[in-house]
Amino acid sequence: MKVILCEDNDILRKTLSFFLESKGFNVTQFANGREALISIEQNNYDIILTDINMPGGSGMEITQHVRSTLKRKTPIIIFTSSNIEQTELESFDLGANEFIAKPVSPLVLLVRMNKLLNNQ
Amino acid sequence: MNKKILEIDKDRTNQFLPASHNPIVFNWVDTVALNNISELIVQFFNIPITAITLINGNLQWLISKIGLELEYFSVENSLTQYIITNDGIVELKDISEINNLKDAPSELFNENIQFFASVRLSNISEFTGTLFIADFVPRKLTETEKKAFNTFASTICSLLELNQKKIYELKNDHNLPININSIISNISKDYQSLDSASLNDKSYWLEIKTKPVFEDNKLQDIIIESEVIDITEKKIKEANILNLISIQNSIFNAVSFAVIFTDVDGIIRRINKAGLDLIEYSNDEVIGRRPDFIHDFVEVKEKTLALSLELGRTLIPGKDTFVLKASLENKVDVNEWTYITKSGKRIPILLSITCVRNKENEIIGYVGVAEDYRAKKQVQEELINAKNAAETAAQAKNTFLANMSHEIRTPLNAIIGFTELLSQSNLDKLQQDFINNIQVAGDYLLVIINDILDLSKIESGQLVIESYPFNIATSLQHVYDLLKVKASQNNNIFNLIIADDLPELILGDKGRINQILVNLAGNAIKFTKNGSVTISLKKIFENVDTVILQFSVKDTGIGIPKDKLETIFERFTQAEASTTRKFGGSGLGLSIVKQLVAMQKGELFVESELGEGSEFRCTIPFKKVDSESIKNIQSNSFSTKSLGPLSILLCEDNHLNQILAKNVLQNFGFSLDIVNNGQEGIDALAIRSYDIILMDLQMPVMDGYQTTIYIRNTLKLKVPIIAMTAHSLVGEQQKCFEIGMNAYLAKPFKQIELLEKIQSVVDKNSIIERKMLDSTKEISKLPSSSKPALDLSYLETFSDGNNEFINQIIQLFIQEVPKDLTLLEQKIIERDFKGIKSVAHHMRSSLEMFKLDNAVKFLRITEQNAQNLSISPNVEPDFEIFKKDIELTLQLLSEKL
Repeated sequence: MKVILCEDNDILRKTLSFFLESKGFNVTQFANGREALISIEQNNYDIILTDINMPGGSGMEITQHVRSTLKRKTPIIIFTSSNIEQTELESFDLGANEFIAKPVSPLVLLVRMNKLLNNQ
Repeated sequence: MNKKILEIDKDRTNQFLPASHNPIVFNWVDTVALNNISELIVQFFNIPITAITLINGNLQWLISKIGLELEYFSVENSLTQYIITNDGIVELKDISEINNLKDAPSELFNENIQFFASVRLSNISEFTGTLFIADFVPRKLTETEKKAFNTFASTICSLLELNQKKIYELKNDHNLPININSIISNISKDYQSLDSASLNDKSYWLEIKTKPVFEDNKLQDIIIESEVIDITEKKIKEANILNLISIQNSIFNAVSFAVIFTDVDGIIRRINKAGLDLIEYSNDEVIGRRPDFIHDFVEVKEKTLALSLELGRTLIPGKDTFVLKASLENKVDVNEWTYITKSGKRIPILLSITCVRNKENEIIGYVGVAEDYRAKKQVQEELINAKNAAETAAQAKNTFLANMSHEIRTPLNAIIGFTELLSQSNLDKLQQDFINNIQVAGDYLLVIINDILDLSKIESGQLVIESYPFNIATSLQHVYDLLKVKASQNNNIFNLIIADDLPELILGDKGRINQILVNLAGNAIKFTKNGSVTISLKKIFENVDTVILQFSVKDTGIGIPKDKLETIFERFTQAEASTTRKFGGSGLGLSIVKQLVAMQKGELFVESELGEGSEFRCTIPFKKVDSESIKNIQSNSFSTKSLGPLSILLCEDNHLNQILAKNVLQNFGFSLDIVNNGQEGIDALAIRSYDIILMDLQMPVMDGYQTTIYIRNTLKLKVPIIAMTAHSLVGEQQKCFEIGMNAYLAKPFKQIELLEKIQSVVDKNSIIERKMLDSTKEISKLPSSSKPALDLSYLETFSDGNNEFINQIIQLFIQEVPKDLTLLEQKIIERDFKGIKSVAHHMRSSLEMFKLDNAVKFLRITEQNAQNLSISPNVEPDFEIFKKDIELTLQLLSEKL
């Protein structure tokens, strides 16, 4: 399973990536939204995990691009801060499948990922 | 009374006095006619002196006179003020008294003058003047004379009025070669006139500047100075610029893109024809407005929001949404937008925004070039739909193939498995031969099913070439043995030639090499009768770590026509259509071979002569295995004893498979419990623990996936789980690992494969356990509760007991967090809310990883405040505590490394 992980905090990103790889996922990491978008266009990821605020482009933009422009149904999970912001709700409208509040629980992440991947 | 005459009403005087000061203003006067009138007056009144005056500024000019030398005199210190404010005739009958006055009026230029009469000349456009008569003897005007005097005055007024009118006509006649009226009206300015002249058949442009010069303020002498300049070159340049503008206008209106110029405030100043056509408005409806009215406001709002996030500053929808990026990055900014036309149509466009800058590099406006994107958008849409449709179709094909192979593999699993068990029982020679044949056939059938599956895997990019050590000579011998029976059926001599200088072990994918050779040799045997088929293997290159081997399959069969050599590697293609009927086969073999060779970075060659035979050669590079590793592998060879008496739980619903697995596992000396589905498996786990679980994926009630997730997430058991499935769906193996299974075994499996998997998970698991133990020890070494202890529990939920990884993250923390700390301090000092928000947000994820709850709380509050553009009054002391907290953590973490 090919996973793209977009998160600009190095520590969180590397930790999540290590965890997912240990669970057998093939993880591609990005700290920059624009670079992630380009990679999504060029590759067929099975699932997209993304933070909201990133340099180069937000998780919202990624979600909108995947749904509206690429017209792909790739599952998208968005990491959010615990205080709900308007932008997060908006990205839900744009087609994100799940939210996981930070700090991210690895087990919750895995269960949500599996649920989405099994529904595919 | 005389004194009284001199009292002047200043206000009234001003009303009649014009402002001009120049004598030239009177050059329009018909002097001849006036002089005639003066003659008439002298004769009529029988008087020696008369004059007609006009006032200009504070001078009074005598424009016609008899009996006087005087040309002008000052209005001040004259009777004029009195005369012009008086509506009737002013008559001085006895002047002797006046002459005695200190300041004699100017009119009384001669002390001998005894009589003076004057009347105002008015209503001559902007001018005012007087008519006066004088005599050296005292006299008195009779009523008749007074009447005549008035008549003379009004005649003069009419005449001057007429002259003045002519002047105006003159002024308005622009066809005069040199516009005198311009000289007159713009008296102090240079006057320019353009004229073309011709010299030596060449045209010149001349500029003539003329300017009047007045000498001594004399009325009659006007000198006009003219300067003639050759301005031909300037005119040519002008013409070029005009041409250029005209060309640019043509381009502007001829391009098919909409081009819109706005000024620096975003107001539209120009739009070309294509633009007007696109949005269906007229030029007047567009110029002077902002482009917003042809945009979709919702879209503008969305893009503004996205841009705000991207640039990290709050923008309001409007001009900035369109031009900010282009002006910040100083390049063409291209975006997709939607125009809404006058009739309400929505048109997708591709809009490129460029800043227009002046010489000083200041932005003076913006150019937007909009391309109608409907056609492209439609094509794009169709492409995306076509791609999605194709992917759906490919997915459907994969699913179909996987399902079919599942249906075929399940019974095949039983056939191969029981044959294997049967071959281990006591059999006579004949029975042993039959069993061997069944095994060969079973294996071959498996090869065909694998062919079909492989092709679908290769095409979806999911096939992975594995790499593990194997002996290539032994491997080829297996292929040879497999095909020997078939070769002899066609009465062929079947040879295997293996060079003796090959490395003992190479790293590669044995299965794929066998697949290539079975395909090639199988074909050779199929198309050769009463001939020979030779498989040979030799080394063509070797260095320290790499060896390149050449595999060759040569036959003396029917051969391939030259023109078909190219196409035989295509799918479902055989050299002749009739071949399929005569020889059978799927037509997939060579296509798979070619792709497998390519995936192993090898090359495939074919030589063939029709009726003579064919030779397929492929060269493939392999990594060599060093002697140290060879020893390890040998010492690691299978020994069920080393595993000990394992307890195994088998979750499998198929009864045949249950019996098969039971026999295999009991042969190895393992104890086995069998359950029929996942639910039963979980119940069994509640009663006792097992060393290994063998998990079928397709089961009723609770399938293998659900059961595994339950075991891992709810029961939180780490017991190794080996997936067993005949359902070789692309990507399924990965899925099993994702949900926490430890190994994957495709059915039908050989005993040795099962044993390999069991061994691999038992080994791995014991390593993991040991590592877990290590990391627990590490934690117990941490400082006591007087200091904020390091809490790695959250990080460890990710780490799976990998200490190296934990150390990496700690190093990253030590490296990154101090930078954030300094930055946050700086932003707090600067009260830069945007900066505080951004740094606090970024830092929070890092601190959460180490469960620094108090520090995280500080960041969350600070971030929230910053979001609302406020800051806590206690922020400084709070930050100090926060900083100490972090610094202590950093110190503890460095000690730990």
